[in-house]
Amino acid sequence: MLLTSYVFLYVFLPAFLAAYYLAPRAWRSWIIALFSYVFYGWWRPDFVLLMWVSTLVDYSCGKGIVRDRRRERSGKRFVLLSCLSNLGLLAYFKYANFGVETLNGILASMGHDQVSWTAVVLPVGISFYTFQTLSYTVDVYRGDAEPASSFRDFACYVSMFPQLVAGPIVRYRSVAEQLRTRTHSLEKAAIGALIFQAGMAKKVLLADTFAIAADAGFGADSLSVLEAWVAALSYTFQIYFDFSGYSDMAIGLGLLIGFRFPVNFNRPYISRSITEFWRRWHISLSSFLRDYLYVPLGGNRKGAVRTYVNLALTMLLGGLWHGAAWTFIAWGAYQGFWLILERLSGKRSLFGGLPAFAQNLLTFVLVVFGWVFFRADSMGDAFRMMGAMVGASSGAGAGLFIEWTPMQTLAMIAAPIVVWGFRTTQEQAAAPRAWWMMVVFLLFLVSLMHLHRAANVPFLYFQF
Amino acid sequence: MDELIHVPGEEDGGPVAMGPGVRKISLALLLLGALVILGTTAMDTLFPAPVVKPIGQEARDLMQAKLQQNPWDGSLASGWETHLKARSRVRRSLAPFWSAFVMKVLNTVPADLVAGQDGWLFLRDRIQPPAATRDRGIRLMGQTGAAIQRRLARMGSAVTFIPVPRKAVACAEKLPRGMKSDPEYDAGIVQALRERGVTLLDVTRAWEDVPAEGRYLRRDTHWAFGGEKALARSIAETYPELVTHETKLWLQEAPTAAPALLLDFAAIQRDHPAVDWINGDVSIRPYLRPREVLKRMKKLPTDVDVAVVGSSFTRNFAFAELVAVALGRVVYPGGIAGTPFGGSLAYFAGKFSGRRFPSRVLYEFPIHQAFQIGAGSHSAQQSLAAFFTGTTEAGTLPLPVDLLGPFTFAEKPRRGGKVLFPEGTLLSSGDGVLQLRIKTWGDDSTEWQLRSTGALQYWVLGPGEHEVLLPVIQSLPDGSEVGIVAAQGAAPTATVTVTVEVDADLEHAVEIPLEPSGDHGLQGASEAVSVGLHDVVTIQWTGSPEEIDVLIRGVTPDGVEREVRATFREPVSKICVLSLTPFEAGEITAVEVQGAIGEVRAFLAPQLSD
Repeated sequence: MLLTSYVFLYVFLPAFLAAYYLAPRAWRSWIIALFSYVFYGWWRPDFVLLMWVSTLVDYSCGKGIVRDRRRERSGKRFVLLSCLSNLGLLAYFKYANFGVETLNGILASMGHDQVSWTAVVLPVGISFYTFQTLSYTVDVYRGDAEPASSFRDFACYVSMFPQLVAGPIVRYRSVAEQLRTRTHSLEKAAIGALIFQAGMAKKVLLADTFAIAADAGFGADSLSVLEAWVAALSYTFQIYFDFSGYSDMAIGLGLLIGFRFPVNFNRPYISRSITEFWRRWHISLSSFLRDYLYVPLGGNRKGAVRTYVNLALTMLLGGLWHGAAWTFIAWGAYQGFWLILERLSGKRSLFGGLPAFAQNLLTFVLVVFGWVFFRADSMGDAFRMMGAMVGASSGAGAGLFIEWTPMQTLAMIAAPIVVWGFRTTQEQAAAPRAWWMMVVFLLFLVSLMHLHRAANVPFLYFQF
Repeated sequence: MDELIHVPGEEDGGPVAMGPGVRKISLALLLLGALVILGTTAMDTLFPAPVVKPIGQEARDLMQAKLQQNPWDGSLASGWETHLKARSRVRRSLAPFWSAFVMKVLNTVPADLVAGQDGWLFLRDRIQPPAATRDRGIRLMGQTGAAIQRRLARMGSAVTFIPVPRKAVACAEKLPRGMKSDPEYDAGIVQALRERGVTLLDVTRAWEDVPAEGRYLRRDTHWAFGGEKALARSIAETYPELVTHETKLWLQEAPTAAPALLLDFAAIQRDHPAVDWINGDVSIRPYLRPREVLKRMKKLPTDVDVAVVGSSFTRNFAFAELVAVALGRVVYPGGIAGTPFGGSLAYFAGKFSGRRFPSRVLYEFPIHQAFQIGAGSHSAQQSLAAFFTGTTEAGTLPLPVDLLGPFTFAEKPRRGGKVLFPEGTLLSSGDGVLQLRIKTWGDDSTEWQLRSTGALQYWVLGPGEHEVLLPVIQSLPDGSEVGIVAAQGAAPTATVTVTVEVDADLEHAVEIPLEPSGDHGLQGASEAVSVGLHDVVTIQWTGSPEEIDVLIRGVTPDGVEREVRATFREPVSKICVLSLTPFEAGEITAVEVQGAIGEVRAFLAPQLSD
């Protein structure tokens, strides 16, 4: 179910909130789980089974670790089981098609028969909830988190619909206490509603408007230099407003039922280095990769070379997590390359000697080029787009401006103001001002109208 | 641990607590937000908007989609969502105002539309033909058109195709500056039909003096009054013999709000007040007088000689009435809205089943319908199958069995409901000159498909014995595989027999003597041979050649040089049948055969007479 769909806004959400607040406190986590299963299984009910498997396995693993500890055993076997089941699910559903395609490519080039294969459908949000359940087992094993006190709380944690399909990735220990006891207040709900509304406006009014030029540009055969930049910039803004919009909606929904979720974006495009960018972009993923991949690999504790190798590996896998395609791997490698280069120069911006705005601008340009890998359908397309951006392979143009509308011009003007000029939604929410609240509410009404006039556009991060 | 969202008043979080004024505003907005959402829910539940009933093909597609909905692939959920959204009274009342504002002030329309100049709207998917099937569509339209013409000729009707150029081509100057609409595609369709000898009316020429505003409606997918009128006049000029003035007819013209169907795509329904604000165009609605004649026309007159068959362009507008006035005679108005290519022909054939067909059928179709033919669209193929099945009264004769090779299924019933004519078996010009008489016997209903490179025709037969006659329409390469398959897997209780037939009188064929020419060639028709409109040439051989090339040259009665060319690789059959329709009853000037082995003979066979 899409958070911007009619059925969610006018049927599911009112029904859920009514059931949640009318239910006795002890039942509320069950209500969340129950509605979350409906939410998740709305399009594919069979995929709920996968979530149940993941929930049961990791809940049992958490219990198993505790039992082993009592018997003075490490509990490692349960971590292994959790890794195997979660990463196995992820490997099969997300990477099997890619693996077979790659294998068939190799076999074809060698003149051998190809492996016949029925493509596997990717369950929405599997990348998110498998990471969450995995983090639970690892945290319990490490002693960073207490095992879930009840199956109800754990099922609620895994399935929680606001952030289920596109993050932020919520670690168990972040919400363990809230699962047991959380406060509800009108003020909290009011702020939650406003954050939700702000996220919706970002998605519907900005991201979907930028999608027009981004889709047209990345789908074109030949682009002029200007068109290539407009397409790349459009995607840069689209992905930010789309993803941060979803995160805002998830955080807002969480607050409506008393949960405080992690902050996921902190003005990433104001960064002056790629290192800083990764502290501000999809924070819940970068901290997850840091804590569950980079650090276990040895982090920076095993010498300079291993640090760089670990960094590269982490970013490569981070890229692959986003999607099973060479373009995502290239995007991960690209990010890793700049992170290593910055580390080599002493964890400073590569443009350290320049004024702050120039450092920001050049870092932003690097990020824009990175998004080209991320968005392109193939490596060839990515290089063609980059070539067009630097004037090396630009062509006659794809007529990107033929249908350019005043709405797109408005979005192009508004986006930099929002990105560079405004505080983040969470900063605004922490100290809300009357004008901000009223503008957000007005934009929410406009978003509803805008949603009503056309088909819903799915969130970009649903595919990851 | 990840930093959690700060909220004013939360124990570990808020750097600034909410002031009383801000608190009041936030709570007021929370209440307002809840009212907006709950109010919409309540309104839409208690007073849902009436269902917009689709018609024609849309209704059939919807019914089909509903039947196929299931909870396991999202289709059921998606159907519910569409239904809920469609019945939302709040949405249907308020969204049009916003949509109209966005369209008028920000020139922004939903993705299905393209906002052109001066407020013109276009359907996006009709501006460019689908690249993958563009050329195939052009080729198949020529062959399908020829097959329809042959079949109607057998029913006693001469057909004139009226391919209406797409809006984006006819009114290209109203597209956004720089946007291309591939006018060569429309010209290609006309050319392909012409090359196959299909009679047609050049709408582009008829519209030469009509401005864009007269050709198409600004915010609709259909033509405007001026375009209809010019076309009706052009018909009268092209066919003066049809102009009789036997009936005194005239039109009463009344100004009316111009149709604006495209606004529906922007969620502005036609009865919404926002339509007047955004549209405001006035159109002419003509009413045929005297009133009784119109009633008579619609009641299927018994003595009608001219039928105007077509799409919503005919059904929803006054084209048939305008033609009636231009010709001064009663015509049969056979327009069906919302049907794919061939749909209205199928309906027309059904209406006239068992009766005398009108001697002239004017068949209007918008050229964008050719997209469906090229893509092998199920609904278009279904319509064509219905037309051909509905006109089986036309006579045909079986091809000589001994020439069809080892894959002759006549009198060879097979259980299991599958008959295959492998590559090299059915050798023809691929325009319906060969036809398959398919007889089925079954205890239950059975569903069948005719699969070839040019068609995927589909039909359902009830229990018992049935017979259908379907033309073989193929795209390149000629002579490729053709199969008749039970659509619902194996049909264990069904038996199918297929006979290959030709709609020409082979018994009265005249031999065209062939003389050796070059290394492996043969040449015939050293003197020009006159041909009838739908005559055929058959080439027969006795050996097993690797490849046969046949080239027949000729001229139309107007002196236009035309040729019929076909290449068959590794032919299995010993006969190929080529239609001479492209010569429009002119003359054959040369027959060339390359690669044939053994005794090779050519025959000219006339079309079967009734």
